[in-house]
This record gives sequence, C-alpha cells and structure tokens, in this order.
Amino acid sequence: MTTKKVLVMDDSELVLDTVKEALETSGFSVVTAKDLTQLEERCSRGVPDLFVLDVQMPEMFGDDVGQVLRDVRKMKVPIVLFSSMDESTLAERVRDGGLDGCVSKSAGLGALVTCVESLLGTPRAS
Amino acid sequence: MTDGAAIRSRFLPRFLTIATGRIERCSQLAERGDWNAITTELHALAGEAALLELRDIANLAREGERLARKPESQVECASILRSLEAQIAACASAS
Repeated sequence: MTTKKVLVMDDSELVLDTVKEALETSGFSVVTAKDLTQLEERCSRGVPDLFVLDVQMPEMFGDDVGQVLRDVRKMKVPIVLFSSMDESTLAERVRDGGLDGCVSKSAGLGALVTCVESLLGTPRAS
Repeated sequence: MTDGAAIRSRFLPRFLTIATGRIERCSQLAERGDWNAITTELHALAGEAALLELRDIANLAREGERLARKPESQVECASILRSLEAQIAACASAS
C-alpha cells in the first residue's frame, strides 16, 4: 500500500514539527510549508492526498488558501482547517469555503490524527 | 495511537524558549502600542500551547489575544502578559 501524503501549512515551525511527528507516528508521510512560497514549491513536487491548513497566518487565511486550491487549482483532495479559533467559527469557515473538515488545536494532536484517518483511512490498519 | 505525552516531553524545551521570546516581544510591542502585532504573537502562542496540552497557558494566551483587540482592554491585556510570563516560568521550573 502507498503511504498517504499530508501537506501541513502553518506559520509556526513548532506546530509544523509537532504535527509532522504525530502524523508520521500514525503512518502518514508529511511535508510542511510555513508560507505560500513553500506551499507552491511542495505542491510542484506532487499533489498531496490531503491538506491541513492553519487559518490565521500573517499573509493570508488558510480557508482562502483552501478555496484557491479547490476552485482555482481544481485539487479534489480533502482540505482540513486546523486552528486555535473556536470550533463554531472554524465549522462556519469550513462550510463557507466548501472544505472537508476542521480541528481545533485545543482538541489536541490526537483529534487531528483521527480526522486525517477518517478522511484517508488508517495506515497501520490497512 | 498518537502519544501526546511523548511529543509534549520532546517539544517542551523548545516551546519554553519560543514562548519566552514571544512574551518578551509582546512587552516591547506593548511599549510601542502595537496591539495588532500582540494579537498575532498571542494567537500563535495559544496554538502552540494547546498542541502541547498546556491548557492554562493556552487559555491565558487566548484571553490576552481577545483583550488586545479592544483598545479599552489593553491594561487588562498587559496584566495577562505578566500572568503568562509567570506561567511559562513555572512550567520551565517544573520541567
């Protein structure tokens, strides 16, 4: 079975590294981007199976990035928002952006892994 | 299964260094009256603390972020910054 690749975008390198560790431990391959330039570069090497996007970043909002990936770039892979915003605000942004899911950072890394597994399957159970 | 405790243990020293730097920057920004930049720092701190399950620090940072957005609440926000500094120092002492 091919390892599923997740692209995580967040302006905090600490968040990127903790999320990468949690997802890799769960059997996913992870690439990270801390800004739009890095996102473009990572995508040019191959479209991931799922995007995890922070919402509030210095140069843009993650849900806007998600909409561009979905509507302009025509990427059909799942897009999940991951933010310290409250869950109702996040859910609203997911609805408005036509995205696939959201996890509050307050819910922890386990909740993010569960969300990714629900969209991509459980690597170690396959 | 994600081992949150192992990840927390591994990344805690780095978090403490980053968090201390963020609070120092917030203090400098408060002196300059740049409350918008303070909301950015506290938002990032809240997310980093939440991921490492440091709920007290995450909640304080979120409250500070909320207060920093309101000009009438900036004195309260300065008080939150002092509480955050104390919480981070306590966390460092305990680790």
